[in-house]
Amino acid sequence: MGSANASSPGLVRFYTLYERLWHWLQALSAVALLLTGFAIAFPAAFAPLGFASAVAVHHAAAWVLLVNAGLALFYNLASGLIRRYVPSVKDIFPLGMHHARYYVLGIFRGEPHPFERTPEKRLLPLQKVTYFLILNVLLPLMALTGLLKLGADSQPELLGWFGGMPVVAVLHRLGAWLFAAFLILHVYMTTTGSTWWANLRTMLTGYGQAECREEEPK
Amino acid sequence: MSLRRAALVALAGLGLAGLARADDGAPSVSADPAAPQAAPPPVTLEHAGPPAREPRHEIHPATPLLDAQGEPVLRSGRPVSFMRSCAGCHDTAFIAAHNYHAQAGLDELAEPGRTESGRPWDTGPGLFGRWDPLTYRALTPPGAASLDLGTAEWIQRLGARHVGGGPAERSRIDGQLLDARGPRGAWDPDSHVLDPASGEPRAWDWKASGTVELNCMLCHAAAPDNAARIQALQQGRFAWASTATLLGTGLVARDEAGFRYLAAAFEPDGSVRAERLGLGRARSASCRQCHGRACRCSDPVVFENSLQNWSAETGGAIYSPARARLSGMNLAGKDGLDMPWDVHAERLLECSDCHHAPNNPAFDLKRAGPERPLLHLAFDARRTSVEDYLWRPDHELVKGHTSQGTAARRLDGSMRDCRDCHDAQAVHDFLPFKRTHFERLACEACHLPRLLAPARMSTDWTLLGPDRQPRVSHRGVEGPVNDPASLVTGFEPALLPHRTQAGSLRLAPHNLTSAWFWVQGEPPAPVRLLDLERALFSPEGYHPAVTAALDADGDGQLREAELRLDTPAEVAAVAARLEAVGVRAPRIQAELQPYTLGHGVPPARWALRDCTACHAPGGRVTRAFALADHAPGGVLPRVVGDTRTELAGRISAGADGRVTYQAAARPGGAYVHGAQGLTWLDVLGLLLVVGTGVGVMVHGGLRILVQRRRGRAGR
Repeated sequence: MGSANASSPGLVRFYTLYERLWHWLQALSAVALLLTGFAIAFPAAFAPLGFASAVAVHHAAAWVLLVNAGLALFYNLASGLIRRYVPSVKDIFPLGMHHARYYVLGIFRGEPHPFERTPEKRLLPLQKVTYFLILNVLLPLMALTGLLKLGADSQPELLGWFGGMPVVAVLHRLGAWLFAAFLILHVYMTTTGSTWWANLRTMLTGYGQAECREEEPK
Repeated sequence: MSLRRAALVALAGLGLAGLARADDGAPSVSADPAAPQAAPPPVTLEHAGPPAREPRHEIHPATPLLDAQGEPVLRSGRPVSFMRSCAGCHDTAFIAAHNYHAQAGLDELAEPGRTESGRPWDTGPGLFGRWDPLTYRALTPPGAASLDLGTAEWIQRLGARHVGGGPAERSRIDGQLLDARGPRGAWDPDSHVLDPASGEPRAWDWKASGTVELNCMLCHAAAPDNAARIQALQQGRFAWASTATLLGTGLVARDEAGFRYLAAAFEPDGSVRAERLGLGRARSASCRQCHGRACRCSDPVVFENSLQNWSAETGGAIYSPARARLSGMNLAGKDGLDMPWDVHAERLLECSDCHHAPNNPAFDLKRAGPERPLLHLAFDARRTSVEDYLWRPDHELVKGHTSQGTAARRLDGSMRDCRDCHDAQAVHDFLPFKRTHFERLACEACHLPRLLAPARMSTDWTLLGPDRQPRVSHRGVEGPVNDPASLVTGFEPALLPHRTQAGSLRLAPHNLTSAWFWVQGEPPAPVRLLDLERALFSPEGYHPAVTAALDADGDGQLREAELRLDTPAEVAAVAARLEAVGVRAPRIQAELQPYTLGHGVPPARWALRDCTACHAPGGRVTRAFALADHAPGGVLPRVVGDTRTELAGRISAGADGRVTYQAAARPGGAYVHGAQGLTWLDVLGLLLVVGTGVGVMVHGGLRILVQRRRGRAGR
């Protein structure tokens, strides 16, 4: 378990400063990418942003996100924390189903959260599955198609191998819509902690209330 | 040293002097290295200082003016032959043979229907053989059942834009000189013309008319009398066309019989000094005689749209250094148009600077030309010597690749293009994805964002006006074209994928002109103008049957607004009239001819820099382009087959009858970010995002509701 917060008894540290900075930088980059991406795709609807500046900001944000993701990958690989992100079959079924049942029913019945949430087990089953898909499918898809588009000028042959801009751009756009939907869901899910703002506060301050169960649901 | 060699050495001196003239009048440079070095002003007409000195024509030797038999014209009194007169120093036979301006497609003739255009009645890609709906009359191929345009009448009608030689001199049927052959069979189109009275072929007296040989002075004299030349052609005095060109030089005068030579203007030996002719290289003014002669290209520029001003009529291009705001035209926003009509003209470029002779040693071979010679050589020192060049200057002038430049396609892309003079990479730092933009866009796509002059939009030959002319519409003008009160708005060209000689597609600006006309028979051929006039008109005016069909207000007159074939009944009425005069199975056909635009380029500050001009739904790349106010007979035009321009979009008529071309979503396979609009993917994506949003709002709302109930229950 993480270290306790001396000023607030009962709170434990979930996230280090680096993790929080990493998260918020990724969040900022992702939002910037989405906004500028839509500005590029629908310039008339985002006219104030300006097409040329949208392209420039999009490229800059993409590099920030990509480098940040690379650093995190290295950090998690080197520290072995990568295991947190790997779901087991059990995480999908039955734990994932149980987790989903909580959001569909339990949360309205006032049932306690079915899973223990500690700094060591900060990712719950559905989170694991979702992040696994995000980090292994969506993010690489966006990075690959984005880099191919970025390299269209210098490496047009490479772009051609992947079907050219019509294919790559469509995949990138599909990923953007999925990412936008994920972002909405992600922000909403932060409100499902012990209070509406508990998870947000944890990601801001690093400290949060650990939720311990004597026995996890089977 | 032979006389010819001596003359060529002198001419070489002339050529070098011509090359060196750019140094004349150059501004002096401060010798003080400490003095601030102000950026030199651009070399323009405004900043070039005193006018450049005239070339020293006296280097060119005096020229004997000879007739076709080689006799001095002063002695014989016969028409001058420049092919003979100039042959003492220049291989005129070589020049005439290597000259697509002279050949006009004669050397590329094919069987009817076997041309790239796809028209069953075309016999070639050039002015001689390729039908042009702007001029309408179709050259009749040998063996045709009826005669429309024979070679002699072709000269009379289209010779104004032909330099002579080629089909105006030799028969396409047997290669013989036209004035030295008889008809093959009852009649053939090289020996007969259409008699407008009888509608039957009539023998043309080539002996009397002579032929039109290549007219060197039309391009190489300082002030050729082109009007007199054209008049001679139209009068059928073909052999005298070259002589007529010399009117105004003091060498020739008109008389009752035609022309007579003025001995006082000749040298004692019967030759003519070069200064009198103003001999030199072809100047822009020379080219304008056929490509845009109505432009005076002086301040103020005044022009009219007509087939005599071809470049403006087909593409709105005016190649002039003069300022647009100082022009005599009623231009929209004129005060703000502080720009030349064409920046290259302003920077003193002559047409021949870009469209030069391929073996002109002053110009390096284009390394990326169609033959792609020796790409590893940055500089090829092996050039034609000046002497050899002047002996045999290849007149296959290098050309670009345009939709309309169908003749001599073998030379497409042989000219230097923008990138051979301008380092685009060095000056487009604001532009992301430079390479992609440069590969996918012609420079003109951004550097020719708007044409200032009007251009032809549509031509309707299905009905003729009271003046027996087609119904014509223009884009880029509010009101009747050429009416001084009409506001000239100019137009934004259509960006269309055009296939380069290298095979790649580049988006380039185009004007699209549509034409509607009647065809008859199978394989189809345009209805002869003579038959169309007979069908539509009676001696008193419009034929009563035509008036009855079209007279919507019943006043017995056909007004401008009534001159259109909209309904099947109207089409049937005119078709019946055509059948009545002997036209077989008349039906309306329509075609679309793109004109690639490359002239009328404004200075760079007027170039398109707004990304969203293209990268937006409805942007230049994907927007609809108006083709015509209505589609006669409801027929939609089809693109001519030899344009190398890809129109993969959709041509349609709206509810108001207007015909438009809607560009493809990805023209030429180009994916233009932002221009695709809302696709099916975006609809799905939007549903996903909105669905997620609605989902979380419902979930969150329910949570709040439950929490409140629980709170009240707790209290």
